[in-house]
Amino acid sequence: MKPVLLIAQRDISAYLHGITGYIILAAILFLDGVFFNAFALGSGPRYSHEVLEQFFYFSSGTTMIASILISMRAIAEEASTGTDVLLRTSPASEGQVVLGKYLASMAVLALLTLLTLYMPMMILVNGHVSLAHIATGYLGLMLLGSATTAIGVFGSSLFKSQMAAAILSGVMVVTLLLLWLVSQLVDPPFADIFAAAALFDKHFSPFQEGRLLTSGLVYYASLTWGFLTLTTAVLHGRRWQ
Amino acid sequence: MILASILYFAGFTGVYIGEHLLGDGLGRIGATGIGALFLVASLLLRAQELRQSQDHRRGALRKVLIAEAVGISSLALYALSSPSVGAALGLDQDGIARWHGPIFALWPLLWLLGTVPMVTVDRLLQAHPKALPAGATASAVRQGLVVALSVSLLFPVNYLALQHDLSWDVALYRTTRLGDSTEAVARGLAEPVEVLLFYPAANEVKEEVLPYFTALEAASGGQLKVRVVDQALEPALAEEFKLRNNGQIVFRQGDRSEKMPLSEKMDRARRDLRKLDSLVQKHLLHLTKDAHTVYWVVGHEEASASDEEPLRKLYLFKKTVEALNLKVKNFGLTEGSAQAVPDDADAVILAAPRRELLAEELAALQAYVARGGHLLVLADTDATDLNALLAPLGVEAGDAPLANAKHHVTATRGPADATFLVTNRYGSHAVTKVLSRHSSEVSVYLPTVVPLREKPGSGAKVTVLLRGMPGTFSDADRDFVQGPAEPESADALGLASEWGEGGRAVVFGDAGALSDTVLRVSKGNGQLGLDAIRWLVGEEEIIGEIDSEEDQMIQHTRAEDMKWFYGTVFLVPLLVLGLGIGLSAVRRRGK
Repeated sequence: MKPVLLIAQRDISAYLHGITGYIILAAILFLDGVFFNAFALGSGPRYSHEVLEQFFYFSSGTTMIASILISMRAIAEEASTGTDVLLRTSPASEGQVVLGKYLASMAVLALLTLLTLYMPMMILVNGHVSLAHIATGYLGLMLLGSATTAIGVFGSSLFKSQMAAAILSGVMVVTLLLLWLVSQLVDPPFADIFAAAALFDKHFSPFQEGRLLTSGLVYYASLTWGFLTLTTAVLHGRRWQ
Repeated sequence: MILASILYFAGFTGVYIGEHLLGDGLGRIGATGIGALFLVASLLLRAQELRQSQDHRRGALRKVLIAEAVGISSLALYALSSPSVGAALGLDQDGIARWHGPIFALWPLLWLLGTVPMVTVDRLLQAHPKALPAGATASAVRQGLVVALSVSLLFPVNYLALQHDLSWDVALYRTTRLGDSTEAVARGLAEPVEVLLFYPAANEVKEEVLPYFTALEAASGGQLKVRVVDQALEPALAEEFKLRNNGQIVFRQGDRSEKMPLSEKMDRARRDLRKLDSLVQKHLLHLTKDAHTVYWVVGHEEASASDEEPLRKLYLFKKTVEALNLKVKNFGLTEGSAQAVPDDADAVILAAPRRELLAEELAALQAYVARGGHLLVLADTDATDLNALLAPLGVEAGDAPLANAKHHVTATRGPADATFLVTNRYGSHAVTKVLSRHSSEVSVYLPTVVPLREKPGSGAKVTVLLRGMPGTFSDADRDFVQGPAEPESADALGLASEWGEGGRAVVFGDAGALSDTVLRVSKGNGQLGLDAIRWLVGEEEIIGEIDSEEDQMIQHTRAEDMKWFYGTVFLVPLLVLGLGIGLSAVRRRGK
């Protein structure tokens, strides 16, 4: 576990050492604030649970964007600067490298998500929502963020260019989102498979509404596991090249 | 080799399109056929390459060929799920379902087990066109199998998670606690009351409401007894109240009873559990208090329960009055409004009439006032002049609306919002006892309110209930902006008056304050209307809070809007950016 933590620690400090990380954090928080004001609060009176649900709905979008922006550099940057040789020749296995990179991205994403906490807390001032609902929504955001971060790390392992990695990861995330629409067009059993595989509708909406479903937990955990396994395979294959 | 891979994936895509997107017909046959041809061509290309290859690459190419064959064999397995195979095997519907189960589970697994190692070894061969490193092929196959098995595992794990899904709903639906108003009702019970909870022994709704009724029982000083009854086990008792199912709460006093339905299913009961306290109070009052009568003056375009203008529709307020076991009756010319207010009137409501009252009607109301009546008067900007009626109460109403540039509700985001006042400045009076206790968190909204002031010389004792926030002015020119001739107003927004032998009146400068639109948004307005009526009909002993867990609508004042907007959009992102710039500067200086 030590190599994993060392890699994670190194990457976290790299994220927070330069100004770029803070710019990304501030930009995402700005977007969150705009969405919260313009859409979640809206212009007319609205029930506080609706405001909270809308907050989580829009935050899910910014979380997905943030996770890709944060994770795009995870492995791609090592490849572009040539430091990937150090990782390949280090005693850490490919799995440990991937896990360290993933944990670093998740730590930054968790920090960002935590910084948005004041928005639902503001709902509590005038509204009537449960803390458990807020906690469940945030758990959903972190699970969704975990899955998209794993996708981002996988995308980052395929390219030297961070931009290319972000674009491919974005395409994969959008494809997973669109599976819900595809599921409406195809016949069973593919309709059920696509619906169950879709990233958002079936799995995130319950968290947004304050419902904790084990199927959602398993889905996001397995998606994270699947993409981290793929990333490990990519790095493993690269070792022979 | 690249061509073989392209043909392989194009072949599967063709078969998928043919079998699942095109339906029956030539299109399906064409796409499936082309797909199958591609797959065969891919396999032949691989075989040819294996035959022509040098010795040191043969092992890897053989493995690719085997992997591709395994991938293609999944198609054969999938074909076994076609209806013709089921018919040939003589399977019925259940048999077909059982036949499909393992096939649908195995064919994707077989496809992945073939395809992923094929890709990994293919990539290896591309990276090493001349000589393969020792052990590389075995490692690539192993890695491919690990990935394939890992991904394959995801399907059954997710399938099982969906089939055995556990769910916890943690959104707010708390059952209300015993409010001090209902506690006062229980404490004041003159005769014993029995509460029968008709629920089965093991029931989550019963468990949810039992603590509430236990607290009510304790507060009653022995006058109220609670008993849980299962309708199935005591059919005779259930029949007495004509109950056919559980999920009912019965309040019994002597030979009178009140039934309160509350579903035994939690998902249906939630809505009522959120307002359990108010429902219980309503039924207790209906059971234990004699019905009083409130007359609502009609016939002069008054604001009413059926008004179509949003800020003059008082349906919810009327419901609140009725929940206090008060009968609301219309009082117009046909009901004798030009003669006299009936003797059974416990209160009269005059809600912002737009047309003047007849002289006889005014005289009847003035006579009612003189004999110590109870009056709720709602003045308004577009109401007729009511000062002739208000004078004996020691109250005078202005006609220009009050406005405030800062303390107002953002409703239209236009200048007119300045007249949609909000205040938490409450006077010291029984009507505002609860509001004063919570003045820091509960406000009252008043759209287009006229100023009220005490008119000396009437002999009535006048108490201020509501005052405007600092900066409130009388907008005489109605331009929503404070001009030099419009100084800050010290007038009240609501007054209470008492005179003679029990005469009582409550006057508000705005009918909209009790409209449905405002009551839906503001808890404070609901409490104000409720306590005003309670005080008027002499039930101030039960003035207090009714606990409610119902969701609140969020509506901001202009000042709050600015805070929320700047706080959420700019403040926190700027703080984060500032922190980043600061830390970078410190680091640069350190270097």
